[in-house]
Amino acid sequence: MRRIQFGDMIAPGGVMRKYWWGLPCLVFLASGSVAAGLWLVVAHQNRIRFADDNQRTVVSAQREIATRLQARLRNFSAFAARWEQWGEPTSAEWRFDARLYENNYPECRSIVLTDRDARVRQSLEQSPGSDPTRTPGRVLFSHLTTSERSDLLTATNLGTPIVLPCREHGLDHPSLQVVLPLSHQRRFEGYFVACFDTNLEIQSVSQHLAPGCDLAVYAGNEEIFHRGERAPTRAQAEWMQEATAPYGGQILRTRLWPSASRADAVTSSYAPLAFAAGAGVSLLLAWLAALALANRRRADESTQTNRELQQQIAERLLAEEELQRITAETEVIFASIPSLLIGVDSDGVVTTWNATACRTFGIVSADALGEPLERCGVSWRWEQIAEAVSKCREIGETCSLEHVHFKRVDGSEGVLQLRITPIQFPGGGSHDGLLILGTDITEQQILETQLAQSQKLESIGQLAAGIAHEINTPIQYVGDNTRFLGDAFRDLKGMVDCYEQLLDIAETAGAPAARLEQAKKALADADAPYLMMEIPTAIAQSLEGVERVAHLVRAMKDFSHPGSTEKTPVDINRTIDSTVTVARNEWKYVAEMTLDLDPDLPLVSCLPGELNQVILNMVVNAAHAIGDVVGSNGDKGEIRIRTIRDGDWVEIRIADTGSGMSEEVKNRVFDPFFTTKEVGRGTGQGLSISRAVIIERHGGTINVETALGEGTAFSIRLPIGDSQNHQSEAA
Amino acid sequence: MKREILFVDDEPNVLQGLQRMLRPLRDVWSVQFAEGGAAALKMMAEHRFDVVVSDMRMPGMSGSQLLSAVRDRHPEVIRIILSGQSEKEFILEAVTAAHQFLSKPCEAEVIKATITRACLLRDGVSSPGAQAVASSLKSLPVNPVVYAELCEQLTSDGAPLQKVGQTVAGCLGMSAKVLQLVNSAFFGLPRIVCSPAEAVVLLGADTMKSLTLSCQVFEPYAGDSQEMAWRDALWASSRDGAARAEARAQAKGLDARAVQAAVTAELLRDCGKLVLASQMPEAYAQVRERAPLLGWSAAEREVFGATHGEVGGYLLGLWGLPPAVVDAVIAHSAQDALLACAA
Repeated sequence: MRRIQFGDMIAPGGVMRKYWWGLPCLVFLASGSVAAGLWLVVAHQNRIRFADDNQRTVVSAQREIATRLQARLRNFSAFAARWEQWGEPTSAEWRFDARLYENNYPECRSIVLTDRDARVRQSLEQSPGSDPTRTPGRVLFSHLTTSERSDLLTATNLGTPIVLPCREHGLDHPSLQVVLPLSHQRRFEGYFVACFDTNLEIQSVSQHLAPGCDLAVYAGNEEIFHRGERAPTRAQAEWMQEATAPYGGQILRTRLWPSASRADAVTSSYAPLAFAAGAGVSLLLAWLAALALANRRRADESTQTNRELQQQIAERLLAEEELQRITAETEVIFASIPSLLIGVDSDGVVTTWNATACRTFGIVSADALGEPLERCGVSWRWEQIAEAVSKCREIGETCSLEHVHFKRVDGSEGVLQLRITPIQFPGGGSHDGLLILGTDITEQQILETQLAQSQKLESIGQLAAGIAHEINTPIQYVGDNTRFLGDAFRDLKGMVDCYEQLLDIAETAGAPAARLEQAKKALADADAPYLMMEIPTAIAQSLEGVERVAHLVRAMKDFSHPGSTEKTPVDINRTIDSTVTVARNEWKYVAEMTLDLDPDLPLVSCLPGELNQVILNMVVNAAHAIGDVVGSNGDKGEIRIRTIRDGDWVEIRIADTGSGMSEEVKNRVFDPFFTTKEVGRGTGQGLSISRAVIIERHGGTINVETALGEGTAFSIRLPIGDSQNHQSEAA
Repeated sequence: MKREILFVDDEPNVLQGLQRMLRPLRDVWSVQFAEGGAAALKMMAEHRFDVVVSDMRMPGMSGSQLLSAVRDRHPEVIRIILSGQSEKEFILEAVTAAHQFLSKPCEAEVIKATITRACLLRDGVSSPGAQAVASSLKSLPVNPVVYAELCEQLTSDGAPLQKVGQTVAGCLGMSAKVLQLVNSAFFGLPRIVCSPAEAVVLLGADTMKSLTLSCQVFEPYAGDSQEMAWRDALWASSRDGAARAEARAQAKGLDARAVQAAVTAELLRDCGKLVLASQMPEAYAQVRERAPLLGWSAAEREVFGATHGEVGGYLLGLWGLPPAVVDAVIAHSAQDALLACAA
């Protein structure tokens, strides 16, 4: 689509401004054309009048000339008519007539009388010597053309005068001769031929005719008179007028044209002006046409443009709305992302800090934005973050940090899962920013730990049930057999005692000495007194061992207690006993276990699996605390577990003689992920989970009393709950 | 006469161990061993035994299948499970087949004591027919009204277990069964439980649901209306008796456990009547006719050769209920007999 600048379209007269020169041109041309037009009209009128004048002039000139020549011809005709009547005149008459002609017609060159064969008989030379052919005896008409001869013959037969060109009169210009056939009594007798200097003749006639004009007279095709320039110029030719009149068988044509100066005056400025006016009008028309076309095209274009523009505007409006909607949506999405989102530019400056980040760290975005990442105020392990950031920048790929511990505003610890992703802002550059996306997985972590523990317990429980069966069967017969051995030994001992007495009696009774010695030796070899003493002990210890294994298996079964997800009445004492038995390995090298359990403790309604877990945690913590003090020097501390009933509550108190805790540690001991143990030994979740189990799941309380260097005591109080009601009812 | 006892186990070592362990009793017990259910049934077909002690999980025939077969073929034989299994499913499976449950490892004294006590109780029942009647009983018939209530409580979630316990304590048939279960070695409780309500709480809702709804251990009685009226009266009197006993015992200032034992004994006092009536209804109809004249015990002795007290005590003893309760039931019967004589 063609881009159109918005300003161009809006400014008025855009098209006109481009053709600014048009207006003065238009005015100039218009006025010029009007003037030229007016002038042309006037000139045209002039020309018409001029032409008319010329026409009239030539007609009158022609008439004058023709009249003169006709008159002369009539005069000669009268001579011929006399000849017809009277015959050949006498010399005197002839002489008289000739004298008359000579006087009247000075332009007449010669007058000749011929016989029938056109042989000169008498001639009268007006100007002697001028025509040598007129001497008597000469035959005339030898220079006539064929057509002229036939005309002459016709005229001779008819007896009418005829005018023929004369080519023998000795002049350098054409001339005319009047030929009259002479007859008498119907008999042809010869010709009367008068030769004129026509030029001179017409000159005299036309002297006063058509002043200011050039004039030419033709007889047939021959020019017989000329005044002015020899040939008319183009301007003159334009104005040329012609008139014709018959003259003795010839056609006289008179041509007239204005003199060069007059013709030029009429014509000269007319052509260029007409050309200029025409050109001007053409240009004007062309310009107008061009302008009209241009306007039309402009109009079309601007209509099209307007349409496109409107469409574009509509599209832009739509796009803008869409953009606003998307922006708003993005903002909402951005704000409602449950993950924390931190954007960092190439200089490590924070550019984005979303609502979740504000909530998580308790740092408002105004404080964080524009600060270098390291100074944004978050308390987490910076070396861990910095390492990941540099690694991320280096390899240009997303780096994940699974467990990033951080401190909340209230001082409690949380765990984040971070993803650091290099991002490229539009406009190029390589890894010019980082996006840190974090999820608070504290709860998840706790749940995972709990789930893992409960799954562990569940699988232990299942295994324990199976193993219990497998162990219980051999224990059954190991126990049976050992007891049998005990019984059998008792019986045998009685028998051996009898035999020993018998041996004494046999000795006094004098039995064979060799046999006696043999029997005594056998007794001594068998070390009988030792056997008698040790075998019962061995059997008793074996039975005790069997009993311990059976107890352990039972404790394991109790501890793992599979499948109980609802609150059931639990014998707390038995729970403690089982747990201590199962965890024996944890404490027996560092501590003595003292159980001070109230035998009248009622059953307590609780979740046995979770309670087991709590007590195990406590016992293990106590063992670790003591282990920190006694180290490996072989001394042993003491773990004392006491249960008492206190009204509607049962209290379990687990005390150790371990290292104790400082006040600060004591305050945070139930925080999730807080641990003072070295990495790998504690998850920091044992006590926080214990607290959740006791308080949230059982509605109990858990307290800690501690003194640095003296030991720690945890007191767990559980409501006896439903079981207690039942007990009191039964009581 | 020596007691004839059969031990069944798929593990020969266990059998030999038992044999050696029980050697001191060789004078009073004649002990035999079978490695599997089929062998045991074969031996029992050829020889009369007083007691069968079987393992639970065995290849081929399981302990509960064996004991069910024994119950049908030799109803008078006392049936005991001795198993290392601890899952509740197994015990629930065997709950109608076995009288008592012992768990491995089991001390010799426990085995000896259990068998001896069961045999002695049986000896207390003078008629062999009555012995068989008691030992072949799967469970006591239960009050249909109470049963319906129990089912409703168990199917509707959220009914507190104590409420269920009180419901169970209202029916002597159910009470006897839950006490049998809760006092068995499988639950491994260190204390003896006398109160049916407490037993229910200890067994837990899951077990109660399994017992009632899936295993259908309790059989609600559905007989003719005359019979029904008599039983209703019996159930009512046992409840009233229990209430009275509670008041009396508390007035005497006995401790909680003793009070509970007295209450339960009073509740279960007449369970022998139900046993006899449900196993031999026609014969018991005669008893009901003669009872107003002779007194219950005398009438029963005349018809069955044994009183309801003997039969009830034997049954409860077989099921391993606390001796205090069992003894009280037997004593009650004797007292009743004395009263009858005096009358």
